[in-house]
Amino acid sequence: MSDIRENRLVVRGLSVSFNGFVAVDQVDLTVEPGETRVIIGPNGAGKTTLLDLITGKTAATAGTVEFRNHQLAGKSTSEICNKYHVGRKFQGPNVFHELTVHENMQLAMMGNQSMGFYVFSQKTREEEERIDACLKKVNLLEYKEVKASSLSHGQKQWLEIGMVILQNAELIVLDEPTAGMTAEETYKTGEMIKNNLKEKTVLVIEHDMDFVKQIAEKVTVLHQGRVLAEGTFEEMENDPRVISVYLKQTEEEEDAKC
Amino acid sequence: MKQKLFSKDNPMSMMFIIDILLFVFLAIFPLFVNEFRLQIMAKCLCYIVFAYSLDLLWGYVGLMSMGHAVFFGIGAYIVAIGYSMEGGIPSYMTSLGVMKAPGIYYVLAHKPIAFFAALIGCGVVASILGAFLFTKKVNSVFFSLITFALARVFELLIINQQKYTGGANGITQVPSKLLVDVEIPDNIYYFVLLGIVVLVYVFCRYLTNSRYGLILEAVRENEDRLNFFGYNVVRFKVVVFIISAVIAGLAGIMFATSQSFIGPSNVGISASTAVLVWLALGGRGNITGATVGTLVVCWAESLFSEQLTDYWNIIYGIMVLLVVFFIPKGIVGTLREAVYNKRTEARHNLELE
Amino acid sequence: MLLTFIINGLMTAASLLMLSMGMAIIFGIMNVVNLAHGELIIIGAYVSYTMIGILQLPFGIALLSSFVVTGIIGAIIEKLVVKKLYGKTAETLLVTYALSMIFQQVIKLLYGAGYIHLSSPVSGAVKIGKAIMPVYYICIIAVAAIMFLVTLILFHKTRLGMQIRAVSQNRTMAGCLGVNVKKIDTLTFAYGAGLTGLAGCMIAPINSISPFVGSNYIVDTFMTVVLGGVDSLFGSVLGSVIIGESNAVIGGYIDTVFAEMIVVFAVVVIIRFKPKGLIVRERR
Repeated sequence: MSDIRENRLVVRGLSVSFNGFVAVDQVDLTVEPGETRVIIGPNGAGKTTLLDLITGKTAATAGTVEFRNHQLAGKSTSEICNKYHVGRKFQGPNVFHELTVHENMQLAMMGNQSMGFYVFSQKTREEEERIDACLKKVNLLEYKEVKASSLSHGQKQWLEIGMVILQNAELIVLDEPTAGMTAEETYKTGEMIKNNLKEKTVLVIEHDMDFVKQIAEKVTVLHQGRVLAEGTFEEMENDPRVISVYLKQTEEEEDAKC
Repeated sequence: MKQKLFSKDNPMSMMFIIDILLFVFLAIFPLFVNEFRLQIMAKCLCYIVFAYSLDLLWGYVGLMSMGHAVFFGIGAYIVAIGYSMEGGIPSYMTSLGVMKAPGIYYVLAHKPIAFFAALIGCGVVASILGAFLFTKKVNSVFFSLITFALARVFELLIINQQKYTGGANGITQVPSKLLVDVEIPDNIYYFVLLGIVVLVYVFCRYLTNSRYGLILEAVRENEDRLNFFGYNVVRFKVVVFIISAVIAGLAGIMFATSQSFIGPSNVGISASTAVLVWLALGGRGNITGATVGTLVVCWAESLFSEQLTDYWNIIYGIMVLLVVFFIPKGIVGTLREAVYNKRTEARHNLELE
Repeated sequence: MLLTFIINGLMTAASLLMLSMGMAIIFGIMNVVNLAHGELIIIGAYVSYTMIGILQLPFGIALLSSFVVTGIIGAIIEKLVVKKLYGKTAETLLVTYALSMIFQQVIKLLYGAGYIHLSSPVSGAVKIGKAIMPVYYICIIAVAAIMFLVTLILFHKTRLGMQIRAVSQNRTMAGCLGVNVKKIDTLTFAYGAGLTGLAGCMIAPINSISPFVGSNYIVDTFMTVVLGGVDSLFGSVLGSVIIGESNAVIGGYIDTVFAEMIVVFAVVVIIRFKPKGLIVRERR
């Protein structure tokens, strides 16, 4: 494993547009090694698109993404994952439903191997122990042989978080990890992230402000594809620009309800 | 850490028991029946291998090929053409006034060359098609439709090229020889076929129980997610397509040599859809279902069409409807699900106590 | 030579358009792959055979009744079978294939396995340069054009059409706005099936029809719809012209089977690079 101090994510001038609609516009972002950064912003601010650009799901129109001094923009997703150790949890649980929890975890662990390994190697005790240890961290040890489809919504989210932890990535990108969770589950998730991803560079998208407060070291506010403000949670809470953006959105939501 | 093959904890153990019972049944089958029935069962054995090949592709990876008989046909025709060259120019050619076969036919007249050319031919076609289709994500409906259209074209081509393929009449009197130039009598050939079935079975079972098999299932479940764990999904799809095609080709070789015949109706749309029905009935994605489904449908077909020729297609159609609506996971899949539910329920009860 | 082939191609294109319009609706709008499409064509042909050949009724009545009968059969298929399988591709393919087997056998039981013969209701031919074009083919081109225009007007100028398009784009939302989604599904399927039967009636006098030839049509009609673009009815026009012309021209110069092969390979290549077909509706 290389030096953790190198795990800096540097995004410069990142932009993408779809048929003339600019979804992400000249975004600059630096996440220090070991930092947990939360990105917030109203709906349609381009948060998920930003993650798509970083993980190679969508090709950027302009700009650069650097992690550990390597250029990620333009590389394929599996390459970004393998060579540059970037792991991602998707919005809404994205797991292998018809497979058991154990099988899901196994898959997370053995990407980037040779065909010979997949066909001939047997399971090892060490692997089992790693899987068990990780399942313990995400409260799923008792569910090891259960199909992912029989888990509750929150448990599926945890399974995916567990898979991303097990993947051994250096940059971990989490898209709304607590969506659809109860307050208690959300709190547990926060502790999970704080305890297990301490040494990783983490980028989280989140709506739940209590959760943001719980895990964030620094917060970046995205609005209409641009970075609106950046700072600690307290600073953002009191930033007039941020308040106005969020207030406007709440008003719109109120309008929509009527 | 190896799991024990037969234990209550291994969900596969029920499958193994069914499989072993089935193979024992197939091995003692010749003791009880006449030659006619044995010939039908020999055909079933070829079809079982064919069903295994599609189960890897459709059951595990979720790629529903509606033209898999093309590979069955490539294997069968290459061998049939080659093997029927042994008595000079075959009669399907001479009857049309063709007195000189194309050069390649003389090369294929060597038994081992024809045998391996058939398998390699399937692999090459599958690798070209697979590499072409899978490198850009082609929608699964389109994959089915493309393979469907290819089966149609292949069938037309075989019928059209009568001088070289026997046309609509097919190629008859293919000698019952396999790899080497030795004629095998029918009652022994049955066991040769059974041996191949068991070998292919062991191969498929090993492959699907390995890590590789797990990844194949993951491709079916959630291809995009797998990409983000660093797997090269395209490579997995292409490789399994090639494996599947080669096994289908092997089934074709078995068919042509054991039935001494291959015709366009065995390699076109109806043959391709038939194998889908066997898998749907038996249950896909667990190998055992392929054996069960093939045996049930083939025997139902040969028994019913002796008695009720006119109504067989209707019965067949209704059977498919019933399967899709009432046991969508197939016979074996439904059984397996029941066992799984029972186990989780038992565990749940244990937790409550 | 070439002119003859091009005119032949035009006639093939017109009948292809007619034969695949029902599929363009059922596949394009409802996203259902109906493998019994060929049998719907054959049912249409047999209905017209019953009307003209057996009951000695005029052609117009045959045309109308083939539309109605296959439409009703389509509605029944949708209600009983297809309805439960929306979104399940593999199951839909299996079930519609099973239906095609059943239809084939039932037709055979009712009418026998042999080919049926129908004489075309109009005779005579027009000379264009050196090429000869039977009047009946002109009728086919006209009927194809009328079917196409009526469908366009139905879909884009009427309330029902608006509902059909709404359901196709967002079922849940359309349902919330008070559209009877289930009824629209049945009607759309029935309309697609009816058009297919009508096309079957039109081609009965010029093609050889037996209970088992339905599968001859299915690949060509799929190719037509997919090539042009499943999203758009205009796509089917483009698709049928391209496939009709290339089949006729390549088939005329070389061989019909090779023509079919080349067309299939070309379509496969096009699907690979333009999975939405040649005509793609702009969407963000």
